[in-house]
Amino acid sequence: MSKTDFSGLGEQTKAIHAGEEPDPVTRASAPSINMSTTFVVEADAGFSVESLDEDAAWIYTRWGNPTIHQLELKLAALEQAETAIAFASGMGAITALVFHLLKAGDHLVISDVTYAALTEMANEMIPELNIEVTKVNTSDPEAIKAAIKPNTKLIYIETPCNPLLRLTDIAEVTGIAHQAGAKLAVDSTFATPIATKPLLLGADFVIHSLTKYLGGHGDALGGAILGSKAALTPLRKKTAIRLGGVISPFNAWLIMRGIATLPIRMRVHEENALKVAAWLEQHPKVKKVIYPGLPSHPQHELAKRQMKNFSGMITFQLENGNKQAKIFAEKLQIIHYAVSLGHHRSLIFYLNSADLLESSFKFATPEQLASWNDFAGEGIFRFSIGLEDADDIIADLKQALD
Amino acid sequence: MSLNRETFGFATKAIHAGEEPDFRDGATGDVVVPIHLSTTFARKKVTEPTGGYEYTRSLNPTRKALEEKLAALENANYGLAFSSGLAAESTVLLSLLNPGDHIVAFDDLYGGTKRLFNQVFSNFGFEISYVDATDTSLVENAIKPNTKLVWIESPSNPLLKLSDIKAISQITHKRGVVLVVDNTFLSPYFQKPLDLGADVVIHSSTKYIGGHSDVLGGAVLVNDLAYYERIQYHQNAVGAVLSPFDSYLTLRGVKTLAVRLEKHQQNALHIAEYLSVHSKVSKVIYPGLESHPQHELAKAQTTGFGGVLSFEIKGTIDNAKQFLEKLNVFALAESLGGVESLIELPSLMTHASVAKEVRDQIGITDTLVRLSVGIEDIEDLISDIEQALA
Repeated sequence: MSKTDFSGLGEQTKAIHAGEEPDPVTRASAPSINMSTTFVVEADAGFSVESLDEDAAWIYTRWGNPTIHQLELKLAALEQAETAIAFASGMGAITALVFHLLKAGDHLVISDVTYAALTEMANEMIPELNIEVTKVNTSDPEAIKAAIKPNTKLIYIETPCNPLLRLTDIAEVTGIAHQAGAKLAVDSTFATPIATKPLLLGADFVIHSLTKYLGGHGDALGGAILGSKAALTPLRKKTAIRLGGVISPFNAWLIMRGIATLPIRMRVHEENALKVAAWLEQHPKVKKVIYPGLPSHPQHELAKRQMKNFSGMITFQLENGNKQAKIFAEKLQIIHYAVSLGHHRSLIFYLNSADLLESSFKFATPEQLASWNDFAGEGIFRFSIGLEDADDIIADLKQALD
Repeated sequence: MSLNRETFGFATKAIHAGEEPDFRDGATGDVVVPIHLSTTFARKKVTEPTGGYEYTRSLNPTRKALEEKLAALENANYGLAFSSGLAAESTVLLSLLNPGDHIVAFDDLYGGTKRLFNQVFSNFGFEISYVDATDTSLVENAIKPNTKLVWIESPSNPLLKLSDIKAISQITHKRGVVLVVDNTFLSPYFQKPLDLGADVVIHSSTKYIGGHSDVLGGAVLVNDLAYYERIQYHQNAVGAVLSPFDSYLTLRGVKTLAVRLEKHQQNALHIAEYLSVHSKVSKVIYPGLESHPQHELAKAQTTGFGGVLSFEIKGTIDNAKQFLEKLNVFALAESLGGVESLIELPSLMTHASVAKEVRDQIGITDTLVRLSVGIEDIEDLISDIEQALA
């Protein structure tokens, strides 16, 4: 356990030190990677996870591991959460949360635009377990209120949402959720704790894909759930340990190493994104640019209130997106045409609206479709602005666009 | 239109150089270089090593990615990676010197380098003279007919003395001597010695280049093909090479070198200014302060002042020890250049092997403290120092 109290310290100090006390035996300053799957225990150690209590000795790495624990402490310090649980991927974290909180007969209200893999899970896997699902545009609080039912147990939002960068007012939705006796979970992957701390705004759970900004180097998958000890201790015993989607100690270590530079990286991601967004906005071939840091973002006021950092994600529309996507894939030299985001490298990917609406976002109402079309048109480029020199990113875009 | 990779900014090079995705048939297009752990490489034809790879000691794809990235950052034609800074130094000495040769070295070198010169290479008939290289004329006067190398660190460790790299290189070039510059303290982000006329740049990549205090390494950067071939021959023959895994961690560290170094410097300058007016501090040494005797040279030959500073505490060695042991955020540990702040007492730690009279003569007093300022929030670092000095 961490002996130092990090609560009063700055973000960058927490990012470096939280969870990483010098090794008690060797006094190693940098954390070790503890790969052992099992630990030598006392003869009276319990064999069931039910006997696991908070200060139990290490037993088996799926239950808990010193390296993974260090990452969890660091994440909790950054989100100002009581506790955190790390998973093998962001989807691993989401699955553990949804299947812990919901049972047959319960109702889930979820954003109608989320990371596509989650939307697809909400289309099929979740309803197949007899859990009701209503998908709404969560940027509209009235739509959420209208969707609430007596059996609503969970409201699940992303802000900014992937891929539209549409925002949801966390404090306001917290009020709606708690009034209805439901919990609020916020996927804060695009914002990171440097921008937004959803738990301080009232949310019950925060989800991260650690693969993105937190890890930051495009080389380690991971996910996390953060929240209160009362809520997460049973989750750890049930869906974390039993479903088994735990993170590898090696990935936990790589992600911890990534987090040490998170605050300074986010500052540059934002700085570069502001420059690139402004450049795109004045380009004649660009139809629309969406970036929470631009005054043109329809929710810029909310962004200013809710995000201390506008992060590094931009989406934009071009004339003839399909054709331009092919040109980008061939001609871009620094920016990689690839999925994922939040890396040190700039990454771009085209999302064709017709394809996505058919495979993933099967909107129920004309209003939902209208909001999608307003943000995305016939398709959008999702652009993760890296840490390169902004001038080089712009020059690369320019030579591919002109 | 193809972008000119030579003119890419430092941050772009730090991310992309050496790590171009492989789009050939059968390749994966991975955007991060894989950790190639294979020690040996298969070939289809007896006489043709596949892609130039035979055995990881001679060349390994992950190490090569790092070597190319470091070369791009130093504006060097060639880079070589070693298992530690001292391994890089030993290999350079073995490559460029013969028994009977003479080295002129800065008298304020890293203790480990002095130990290598005095205890190891002196046994093989190399001759070493130490001079105060802050005075270029002393370097020039020490050069003899058998002088092969001039070896400097700028800024030096721990006194942060500067040598005028350009002026010294003009002398060494005229006299046919190789100029070696250890650039560990500033990294290529703040100083590019090859551009200033040096022939060989050395790094302990354990420090700023790796940046996270979790991987040892050394590097050598050169422009001249003949030097490169000699050093590469010895890299393979001596075998003190960087492992693929450590190459990978170092590569990963380099990607944030620019953003880290900006913050290191900003914090260091702030602390230097804070300490300069503190009643319990008698002296602060930081090239970024106007009070530094070589501040103008620092401005001329570097683009920044780095993250290391030294200062003297008023009183005795016991006052210094009390201060160090009271710190919470600063870890009392040797090494430097990591994201976390480290602090040490050279007289009892890094430079304890240097005789007291020599320490006194060059200025490493008993209460001289060296700080490697990390990238934490400055308020937390200042409050830690404040409570420990109180």
